Amino acid sequence: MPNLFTLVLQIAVVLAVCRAVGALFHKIHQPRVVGEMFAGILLGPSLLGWVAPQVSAYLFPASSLGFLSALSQVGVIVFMFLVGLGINPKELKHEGHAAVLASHVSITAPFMLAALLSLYLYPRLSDDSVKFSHFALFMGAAMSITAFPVLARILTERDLLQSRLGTVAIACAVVDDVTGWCILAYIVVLIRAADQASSIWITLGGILAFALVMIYGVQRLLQGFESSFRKHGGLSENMMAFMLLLVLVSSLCTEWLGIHLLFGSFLMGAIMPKEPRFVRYVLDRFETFTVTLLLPLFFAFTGLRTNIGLVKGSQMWIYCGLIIFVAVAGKLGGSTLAAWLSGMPIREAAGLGTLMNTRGLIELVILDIGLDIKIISPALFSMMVIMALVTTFMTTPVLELICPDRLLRTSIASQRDVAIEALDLNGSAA
Amino acid sequence: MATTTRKFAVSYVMLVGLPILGLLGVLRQGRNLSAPVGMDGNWVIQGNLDGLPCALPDVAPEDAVLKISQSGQKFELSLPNGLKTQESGTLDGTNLKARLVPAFQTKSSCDRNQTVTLVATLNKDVRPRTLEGSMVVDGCTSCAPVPFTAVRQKAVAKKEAH
Repeated sequence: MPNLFTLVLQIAVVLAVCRAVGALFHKIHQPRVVGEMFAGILLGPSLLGWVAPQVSAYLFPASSLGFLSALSQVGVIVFMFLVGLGINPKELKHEGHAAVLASHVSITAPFMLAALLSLYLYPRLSDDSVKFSHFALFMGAAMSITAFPVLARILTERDLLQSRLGTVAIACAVVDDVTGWCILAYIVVLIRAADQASSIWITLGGILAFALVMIYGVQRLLQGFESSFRKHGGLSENMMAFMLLLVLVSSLCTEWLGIHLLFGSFLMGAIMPKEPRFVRYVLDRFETFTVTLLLPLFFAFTGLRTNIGLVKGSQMWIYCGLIIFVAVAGKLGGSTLAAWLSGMPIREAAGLGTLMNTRGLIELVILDIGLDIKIISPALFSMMVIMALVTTFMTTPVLELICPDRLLRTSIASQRDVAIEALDLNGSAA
Repeated sequence: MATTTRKFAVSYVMLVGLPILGLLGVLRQGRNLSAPVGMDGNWVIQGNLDGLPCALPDVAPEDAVLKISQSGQKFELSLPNGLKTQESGTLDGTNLKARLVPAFQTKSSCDRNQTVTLVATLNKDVRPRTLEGSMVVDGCTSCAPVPFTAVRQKAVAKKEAH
């Protein structure tokens, strides 16, 4: 049984620290989520455990972490459902060459560079219980991911969602996230299959069958939610509970099939109806509780597993610097080059690269899976968390530097003029 | 083919096709790499615990676990009596060395300033893997090195099948 006093105390402390640091970061024009990620690190062995080990041991005794972990995982399950819900594959259909090339390059460039870096890091930060191919594929997937929710929040805050930069960035992030999670699922299957007696092909076949049933069977049934929403202007408590139940069942299926709980919740979100008002309604119902209470617990739990003290000595910091450099060069550099070659003005292309370089919370979720399945070592985990923090933190100031608001406003205005002209021409022709 | 489409096709091959080919090359090249021997996880200390430096005589045999958290050639190690690595231990081939200090909330009989040196050799050819070595209290001329043997716990040892 959990010690309820300790658990409630932990939740209260985590909530207070995350809100305070989040507010502080908001003041310096950073998304609140970056501050909350940082707050998690502060509560872990990197700061609290280092400066006040007595307080840390009292607040977070090792025996209590299982309950904190379980609660935080429930939060991440709901969060991944919301991430999937926010993804709309139809957004890709309207995008041209720039989005297709930039989205694919923003995966292949960091993936390739991460694999190349793995040749150097594997003998230094891994061990012989991990295969090189698994290590390299995981590093590739971890470096090529984009934090879709953080990116959407930055675009909304800067009123860029409807701009060309915004729509291309969202389309690229959709491709990145879906591809990244598919690759990660494949790696988890490979690793777990090595420990099981059954063939990997049976596992892969099961997953494929599950995905097909979800996409071609369950997806049609889910239209019932949207119909009910349209009819009544909302969803009843029973409907919301049923939706949550479906998310949990889907999560359990993917866990049982040998991937991870989170893939099921993400897939359930991805196949939900995409009518914007319906999506907004569901997000509003789940988001507040998940984002304000459960996600900070995940940040705290990740922070408790992150020990920056493991990145000791100049050599380890060089590894960490290399990881950050490769992550930025691959994602920011690759996306910028691709968008520019597709005809985007260089500043806008660099803005897109900067946005794609946002890794945020999604990166932490992936890293947690990597540490759980022991494909990355604790020191490498800490370095990757630092990379996630740095790349997410740099997005807003770099974007402001490359694409100042005034420039983007001019760009949006000129795009509107072109659109109005086109409408006028169409009208005249008609 | 329009110029824009041709430019797109060339860019796509250069920026997407070539990295994929490069990735395949890297994965092939990486097969020849070797990483340090794996020792991450829990190791059950065999035999009598009373003689260990800063020992805790009332530790049950099943709780006599040596915990190792490995990152390449560096590792953190902790003992059930609260001794743990101050600086990361080092792994050289199959030989490991670490200096241990009593951590906060220690149950050990050593005082705060006492350090213990642990040296051991990992036997990777047996399943489950074993550690054989000794521990000695630093600066104690009358203390003899205390030998120990530890066996890797099964749950972690499963990964060795890779």
